[in-house]
Amino acid sequence: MIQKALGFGFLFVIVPLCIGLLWNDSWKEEKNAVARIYLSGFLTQFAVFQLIAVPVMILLPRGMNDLVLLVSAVLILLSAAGIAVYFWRNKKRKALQSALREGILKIRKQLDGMSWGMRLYWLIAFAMIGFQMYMSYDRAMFDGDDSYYVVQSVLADQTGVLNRIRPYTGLSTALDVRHAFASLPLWEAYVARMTGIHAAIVAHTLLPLVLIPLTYLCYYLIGEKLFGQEHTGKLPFFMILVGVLQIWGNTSIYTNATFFLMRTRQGKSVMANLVLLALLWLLWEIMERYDQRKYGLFCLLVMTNIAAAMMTSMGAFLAAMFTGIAGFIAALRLKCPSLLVQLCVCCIPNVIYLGLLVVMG
Amino acid sequence: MAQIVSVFRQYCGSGFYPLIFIAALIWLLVTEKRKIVRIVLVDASLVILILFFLPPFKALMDVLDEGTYYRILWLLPMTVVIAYAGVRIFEKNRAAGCVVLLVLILSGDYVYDNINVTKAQNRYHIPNAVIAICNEIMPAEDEERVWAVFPEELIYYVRQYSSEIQMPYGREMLEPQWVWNWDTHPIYKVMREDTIDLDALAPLLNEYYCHYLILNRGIPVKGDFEENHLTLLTQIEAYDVYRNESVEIFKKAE
Repeated sequence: MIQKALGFGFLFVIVPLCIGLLWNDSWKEEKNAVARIYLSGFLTQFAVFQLIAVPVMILLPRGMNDLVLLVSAVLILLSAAGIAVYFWRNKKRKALQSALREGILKIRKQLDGMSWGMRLYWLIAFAMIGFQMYMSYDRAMFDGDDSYYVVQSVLADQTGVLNRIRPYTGLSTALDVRHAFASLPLWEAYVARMTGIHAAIVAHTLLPLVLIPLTYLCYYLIGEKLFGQEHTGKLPFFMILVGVLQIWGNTSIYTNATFFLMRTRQGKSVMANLVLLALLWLLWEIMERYDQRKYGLFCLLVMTNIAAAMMTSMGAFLAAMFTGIAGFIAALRLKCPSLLVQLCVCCIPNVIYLGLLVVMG
Repeated sequence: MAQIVSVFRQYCGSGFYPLIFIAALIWLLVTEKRKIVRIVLVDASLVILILFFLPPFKALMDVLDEGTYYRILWLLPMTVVIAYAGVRIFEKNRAAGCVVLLVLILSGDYVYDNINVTKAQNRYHIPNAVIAICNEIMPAEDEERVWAVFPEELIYYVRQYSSEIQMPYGREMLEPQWVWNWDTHPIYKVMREDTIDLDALAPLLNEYYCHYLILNRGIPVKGDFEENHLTLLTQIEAYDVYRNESVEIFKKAE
């Protein structure tokens, strides 16, 4: 139980919040900086894992132990760096403790300023998210692909072998580059190792409880961009509509909503929902401040692109395509061609990844 | 072009969300004034939608990854655009906003009514029967991994629980669309029959070194278990677990 709590706290609380502090300079003037810090820390965690997992799986077929050690060491280092950078940047302003106190005061102030109608809207929105989390825990969502992806996690966790065993049978096999380079199943095995929870429980029960609220956090941040933070009821109504579109979005097996709630644990789902939403929000942030030279945001875009490659072999292509299209339109509309160049530079990891797939696949 | 329309129709399925999205997009195209909103939500969506319906783009995507063209539609921020348009309506008229909410509910499909959603029996989200069978046939610490043949309804789950249990064939036998290997394993050819022929199955179990055979009690069996060296170990829910005495379980090398 202690290992579960410590592992969970480390991976899902401490690491995202501390690593996210590396990007804090980009949102220090924003009201909900903690949400942004957490999301950016989580995306960076994904990217770091992908950057380590791919070479380790190529070089060390039985390298799960090495992968766990390396990833943990790098995450600890980056977390420490995040804290150090935060204090270094804020030495003349405020310490972390006072920032947190200020954040709590802000939330209390916002709550005090809300009308009862608006509180009701928020309550409904939160109830809908809670309902989806409860159902992901209480209901088993069968999907045939789990016998590939979840088994890859179980194999890495139980045998220590990285993608060299056929999930369906147990026979040995060569590295299937197309599937293996999308390393989310290995990350799930890493979560299993760190928490001491069976990889199947991690995939089916634990991750939806993390990924569903995290995806709604993206929707919240996008909603905030659309409606601001005034107490008009627009933002909570937006969140209610988003919830409805997810819960009633199972109109075919292909929709984002179907993947979101029925295949939450799979890379395709994380790509179609969390990563693409994060990309949308991040591009928005970049375009809003394109004249302010916020290089941290571009670094975070690189991290998000690497995280996209971690989810599915198509992820790198889809992320680059979306970035390219939005960047091209922004360059025209904002009359800023250099923005397109900067965004294209952020897609270099995607090109490298796709090149690796072609060469090694 | 017909293929692209077919992909779009399949994506829409039984609902109208993509059509509501297109309507919302057109409305925002006319009414949205904020530059960034237009770039990120409206213009980008429009370009992606146009690209999606271009046959040369489909041809290019098929070269990259055939059969996944629908994923281009994932790039459309449908949820955000529909919800944003809904809020804009709600902003003008609260009753109309509630009508939008109702239309979205009625034109959608409740995800938890899906046939693949069932009450979870445990935190693994794997049937209890699979866990009990796996625990029953799990090799001891000093033994090598075992091989077992399962009825097809259990195949998806077995190795999600334990890597210690191996199977001569897995999901690849069960997917008719995977023509390259579907229905090719000799054991599966016997197992999928309406009546399982033990005299045909037993030699194959020996040939593939299968230590265990799990049968669904509801499927008739032809032949004698004893003559084929199959001993009933236990019965778990609807399943009989047999040990194939002809195949030895090896100890791990020191």
